[in-house]
Amino acid sequence: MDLNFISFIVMGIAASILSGVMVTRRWPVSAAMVLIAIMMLLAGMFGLLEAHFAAAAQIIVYAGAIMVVFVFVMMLLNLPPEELRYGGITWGEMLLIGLGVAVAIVLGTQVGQGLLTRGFESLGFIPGQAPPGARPLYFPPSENVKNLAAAMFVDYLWAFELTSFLIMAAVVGSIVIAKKRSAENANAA
Amino acid sequence: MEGSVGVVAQFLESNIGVVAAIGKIALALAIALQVAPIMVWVERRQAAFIQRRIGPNRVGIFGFRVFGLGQPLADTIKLLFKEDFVPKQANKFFYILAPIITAVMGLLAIQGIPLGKEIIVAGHTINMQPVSLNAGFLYLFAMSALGVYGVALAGWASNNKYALLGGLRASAQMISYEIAMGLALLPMVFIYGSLDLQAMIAAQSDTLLFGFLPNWGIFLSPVSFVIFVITMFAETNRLPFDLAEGEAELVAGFLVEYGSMRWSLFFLGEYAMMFTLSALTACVFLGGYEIPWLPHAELVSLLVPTFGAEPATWVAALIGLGVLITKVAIFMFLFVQARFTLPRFRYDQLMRVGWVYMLPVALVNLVILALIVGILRLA
Repeated sequence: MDLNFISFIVMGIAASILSGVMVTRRWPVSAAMVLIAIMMLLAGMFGLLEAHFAAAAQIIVYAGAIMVVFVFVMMLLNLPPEELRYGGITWGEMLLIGLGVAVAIVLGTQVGQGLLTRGFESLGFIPGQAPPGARPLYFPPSENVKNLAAAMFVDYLWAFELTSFLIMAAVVGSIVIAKKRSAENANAA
Repeated sequence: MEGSVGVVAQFLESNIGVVAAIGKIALALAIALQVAPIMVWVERRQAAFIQRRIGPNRVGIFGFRVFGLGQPLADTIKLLFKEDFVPKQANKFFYILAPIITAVMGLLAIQGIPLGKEIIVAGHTINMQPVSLNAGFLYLFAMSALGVYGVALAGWASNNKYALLGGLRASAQMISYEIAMGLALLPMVFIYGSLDLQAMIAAQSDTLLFGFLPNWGIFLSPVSFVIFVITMFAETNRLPFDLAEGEAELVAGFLVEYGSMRWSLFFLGEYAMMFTLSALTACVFLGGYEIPWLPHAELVSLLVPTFGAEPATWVAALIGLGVLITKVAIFMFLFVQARFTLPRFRYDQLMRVGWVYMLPVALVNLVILALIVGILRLA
């Protein structure tokens, strides 16, 4: 059991606990900050699995850009803490909690046992090696950024470009919707 | 006694990876922590010369004055003994956390800078980059992106209108300029064909134009260099981009409720980030730790006859560190010079410069260089 694996497990447990902390925060800004901490832990886990690009992208894109905008809006609107609303647990909520616990137990016993006995190997990850059954690599596994680029721009070029086209369409669509509303407001005023 | 020395030596030998990592991190931390006090003194002296004053030149230790270099020490002692207060209306947890985030991100970011090529100790080759990841300088970018939370949270947690406005300005500015910054660096990635700073520096050791110029990034893509330096000012919240502080309209912005060591932690983080981004510029555009026209391997082979095989790499690493710090010092000088020369932007001007000028110029530069590099690769 090496140090990397122990840090991986510790980060995973911390991220799970922090997700619970996040949904119980009353201040929206506090919840956002806890979410950023979770994202950093996830980035650390990616890093330990030698997916350095995914780790860096996780922090730059999610924690460094998207969450900055979220926090910006929360601060701009100066959101007050959420009112605590407690009317007892309904049967539906009880059912959902039960389901969640059942899934956690099944996953914990299935994955957890392998993790504890065989470490990273049970995840199909051996440091410095390609996972079994992976597509043939263009570059040695240590050059994982180049391999990512090869997958994105050679193997899955069409899927990648179509996705970016879809996102572009969504951006244009959101602008159209926003424009329409402001025009209506202008007419009303 | 000799036995215990042998045990220690054996322990160090068997754990060379861990020992080397700790050593490198400690070296980078030592540099980062020295930057703030020295820069405070440089900033005050340079400001004084620009404004035809003398500046701090009195403080000495045991009668040694050395141009007042004892001033930062006196300042630190003063700050440590000041009252450590938390305003009543503040959100205490985040008020305390905010300066820590800024300082920690500054100290973490500097770990991604290659301080030298490599040294050989007892037959082990040690890469002198504390954090050497496959994603290279993206790590630096990530840490620099997280630095904004310190400023934004300080503004929010102080629960003060001026501070909140400062925090809002900082986060909007950071996002606007980060994009241009990334786009300015992208051409360098495909020119050098790597994200790794060590590989980028190695690629710059050749010469251009029949040995007339070193093969530096600044000559390969001057537009990228200019955009990167300008966005660097914006990312570190320095004048003319220090709208988050703006003492004329916001008193001191996000800093308004801070005092004593908490206040100086912001400065520690800011100076560490200035050093890191200057060093990143030096590595990507100015050949990093390499002496112009003298690749690292040649430097080592020049030193081998005098010092022997292994110590030669140590001396070369020291020289490299000196060269890197000299290049960084040029940018630090530029930071201070700009601060006392240029007036502050208006906020709408700041946003216009970022989105209307920097971003399109960076994009056009990217497309043109991509075409040139693509055609050269095909040929």
